[in-house]
Amino acid sequence: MFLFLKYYTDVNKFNLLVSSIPLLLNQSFAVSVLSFSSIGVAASLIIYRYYYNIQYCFYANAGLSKMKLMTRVAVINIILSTLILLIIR
Amino acid sequence: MNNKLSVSAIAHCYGTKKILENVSFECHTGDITGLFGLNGCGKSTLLNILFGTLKATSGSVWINDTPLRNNITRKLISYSHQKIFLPQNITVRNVIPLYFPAGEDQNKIFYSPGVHHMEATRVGNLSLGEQRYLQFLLVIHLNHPFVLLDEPFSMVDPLYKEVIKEKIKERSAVQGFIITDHYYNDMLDIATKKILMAAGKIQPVNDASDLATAGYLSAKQHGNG
Repeated sequence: MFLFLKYYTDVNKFNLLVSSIPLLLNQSFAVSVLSFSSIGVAASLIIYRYYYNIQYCFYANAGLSKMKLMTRVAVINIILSTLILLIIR
Repeated sequence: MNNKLSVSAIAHCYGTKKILENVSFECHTGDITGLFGLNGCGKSTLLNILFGTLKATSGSVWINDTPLRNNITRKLISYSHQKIFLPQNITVRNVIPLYFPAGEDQNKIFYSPGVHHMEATRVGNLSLGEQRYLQFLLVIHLNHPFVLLDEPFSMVDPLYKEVIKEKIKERSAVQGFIITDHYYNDMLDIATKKILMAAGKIQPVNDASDLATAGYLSAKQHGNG
């Protein structure tokens, strides 16, 4: 649980940076939230893989494959974004 | 439990370059298998295939007569990579519970020689030798039946090397080890089964003299060994 949380926070640091761009450019919170579960998560997974690819071995030893980690992050972000969008509508 | 890891006719190519050719051997619980070989002979490639992060061009890996699939999620083989894979931005004290949530398991690491003085340090601020030692400790204490160690002695100071050897011997009561390193004297010290890889193929060896005969060591090195 904590192991996945470590990965989740590390990946989403990049995601928050990417997803804050629409907010800074046109003040659109909804677009930022959408980005958090789409282009932001894709970009952050690519950035993480580029800079920290070797750390996937750390998670693999504990039974978390790269695919499992990436899928979980994407699914959680989609659920979070959907909930936030429903709340702010 | 006595487990058996069987490597059967593994072959691997990068493009047209053959890296591994018909590699077959077995590793049982209690075995410390030392893989010797020059740079680029395919040792790390073989370990990556066994760990499941690289797919072999052909051949298969079996554990207890069951084909090895989804090794990572089934936690069958742990792997200390030759590169440091530990998260760099957290302290040693915080990285240990990520692998070992139970206090009793954590103590095995915390009370290992040399760990106490690095506890409060961020992993990224440790020397490379200390990071490698910590990575080794974390990997061998996982309860996977087999352990792969790629260059465990590299950059590690002599005191830690002895600890590493003792830990491997201790853990070999319940795990099987496959180790590769260029520190051949350390490898010869602990390996119960020795294999030389050359030109993608393997051959069993017994001592430094066999390694010299096969061209892995020069006659001068063999004399000094």
